[in-house]
Amino acid sequence: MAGKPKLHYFNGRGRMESIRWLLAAAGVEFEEKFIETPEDWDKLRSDGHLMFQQVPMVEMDGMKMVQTRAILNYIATKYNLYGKDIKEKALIDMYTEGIADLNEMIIVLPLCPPDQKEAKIALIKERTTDRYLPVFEKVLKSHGQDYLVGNRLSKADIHLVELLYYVEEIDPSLLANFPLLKALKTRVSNLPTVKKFLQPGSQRKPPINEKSLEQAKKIFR
Amino acid sequence: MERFSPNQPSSLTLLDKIFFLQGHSQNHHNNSWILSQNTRDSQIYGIPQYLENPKPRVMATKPKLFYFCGRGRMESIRWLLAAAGVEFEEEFIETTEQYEKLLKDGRLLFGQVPMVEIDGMVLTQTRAILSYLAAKYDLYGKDLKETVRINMYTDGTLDLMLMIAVAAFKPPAEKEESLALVVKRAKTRYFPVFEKILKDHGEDFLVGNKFSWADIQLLEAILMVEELDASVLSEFPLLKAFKTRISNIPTIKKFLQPGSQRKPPPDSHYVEVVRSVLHF
Repeated sequence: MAGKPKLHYFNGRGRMESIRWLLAAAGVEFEEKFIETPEDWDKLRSDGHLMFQQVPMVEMDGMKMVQTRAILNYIATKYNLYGKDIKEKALIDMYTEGIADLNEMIIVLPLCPPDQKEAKIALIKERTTDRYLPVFEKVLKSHGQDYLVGNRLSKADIHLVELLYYVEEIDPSLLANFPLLKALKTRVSNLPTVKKFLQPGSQRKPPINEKSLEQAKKIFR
Repeated sequence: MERFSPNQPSSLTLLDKIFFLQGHSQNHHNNSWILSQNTRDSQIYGIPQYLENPKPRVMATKPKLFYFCGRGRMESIRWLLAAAGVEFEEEFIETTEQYEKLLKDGRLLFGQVPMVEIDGMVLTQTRAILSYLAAKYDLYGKDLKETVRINMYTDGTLDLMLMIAVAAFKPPAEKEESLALVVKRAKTRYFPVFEKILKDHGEDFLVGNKFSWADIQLLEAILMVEELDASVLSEFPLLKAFKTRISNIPTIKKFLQPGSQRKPPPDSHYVEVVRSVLHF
């Protein structure tokens, strides 16, 4: 094997964070190369390492993978977090895409102009409690199992728990009416690999602050 | 058309260096599913025999697609089914009442379409549906490494096509700007990548010398961008040849004919219907 996976991104959550979560949950050690200056960014692109001139990019198993979903799906398949057959995979994908849609709103929130921010946050809260969390609460209720699909941990559980942490950061009371989701969050958080990742000093990234946002804007101009 | 010999040693191309750090010789000779020794399209094009002679697939029930009568996010799904030779039904959403009934019946997991009823499942989320179909109809590569490449390529082309779908709903000036950006992205970000991929391996299809979901979606994207700018392929000779080649695959040729379930570009009527049903 060519060594540990190497993640290329800026030093923040963005679209790479769900990849960090999945690798960590799968117990896979990884390295990170942060894009810190405009020169770093220019070099990465001019060296031809980014298929569509975009990051995230993950060097793994002799490949330079791009496109968040492609990367996540590769990791999930490799580490058996993708269900046992094509139908379970379809369910996992369906749940994952819903989670990704809400997560997307949260990821781009820092880029929102200040006068629109309040409205955006209100929309996120509404979508959280009215569209997304009820679905997953219902899924868990309907089969009474510990995990969303096939009675087994999958990428869907990991992405959902990651999302629940972000929802909590926005407003802890958003989780109030979802007891089964709270239980899932606790259960997954207690898995040894996830527990480790949740501890200070891990490769998990904090919410973006003003300073990092300014830096990111400079890099990506 | 030049045939790439499977036994030709491939020197490490730039693309190999980018995507495969170690020397990686691919098994190009993957024709085990060709059933006949006669020279026929399946041997020339490397397509599975069932695509060459498109008989309607006999299934318990046909997949049923629920969406507006237009491209939007459903079009790539129509393309994939059609290319795989799968007959499908469609229920077009034209009124708020229809939409609310789907919601009330609990058939839209996150309250959204596209929705496809297939194999006893009620699937939503475009990419979930596309991945399921690609796997089911053997259009997803032979192993994980091929699958990830197909995913990278289709994520790229889908991004491009969704820009076009979304642009339809913008006010005129913004819409023009968005569509100009689509053409620019196609010419500078996406098409050069696919031209290079085809150039570097010299094969007929993007991945593994075999027809896959990546080829279907690239053709779809090419045709969509050509509608915006007919000259967009002028610097991409291999993509031009690719376009002809893939368009001539019998199932796709059929889908490209008038009267098929392929939908036209979004017009003001389509935009009006979607806005009124979804209240935005």
